[in-house]
Amino acid sequence: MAIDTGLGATASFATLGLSLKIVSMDIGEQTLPNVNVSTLASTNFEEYIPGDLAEPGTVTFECQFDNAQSQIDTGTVDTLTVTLPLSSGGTTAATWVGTGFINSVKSQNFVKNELQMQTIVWQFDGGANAGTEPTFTAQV
Amino acid sequence: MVELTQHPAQARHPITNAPLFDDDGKPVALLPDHRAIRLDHFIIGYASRHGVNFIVPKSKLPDWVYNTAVDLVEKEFGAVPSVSAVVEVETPTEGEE
Repeated sequence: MAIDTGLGATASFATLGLSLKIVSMDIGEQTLPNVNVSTLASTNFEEYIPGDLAEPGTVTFECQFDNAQSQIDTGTVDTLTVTLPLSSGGTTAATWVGTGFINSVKSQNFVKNELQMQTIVWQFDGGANAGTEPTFTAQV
Repeated sequence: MVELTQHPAQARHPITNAPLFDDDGKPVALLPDHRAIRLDHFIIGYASRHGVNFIVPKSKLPDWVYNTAVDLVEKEFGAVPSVSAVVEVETPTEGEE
């Protein structure tokens, strides 16, 4: 078993080469639609079967805003590698990998006694245009 | 020792989604044109024809490690268009505010 906290997780963008001051990363949900197959003969409960295609999900980054950083491009297709913290006993940390693009950048609020923060959302593209589906590889 | 190895992400079977292994029992690379940069077997960054992304802060990389890694990537891909590294979260000092 290799349970761990989030400290030490990193995000690597192959093309964009972003150096973000990440405070938190949230790997979003992969959601499969429900298909309702209930009929007039159904009893007690609605009946469902799983849909065909899952939403590939997003990754949300909360970052300290660096006043010296350049503007972050949205829509540039890239490969993201999220490397999990290396838990004890392992030599190669687990990864989340997939192609996608940054689809939103929420710039900072200006508030006294608070750091300027920004929120960046990465959209996995599900392997569109011969890309790479979001893939988890376990630690070894 | 600094070395380049295949990126650790493992390809999956297109039908069953099970992790794929080659005939020798080694994981099949999900990103065959990407590399992991390892220092004494531990991953310190990733590389591709687009450049190098260190996943440890540059301040924690000895110069010889940094330079060896960049040299290896240049030999592998012919050029290193960019080098980036994780940045440490800073605590602002009064003088910087």
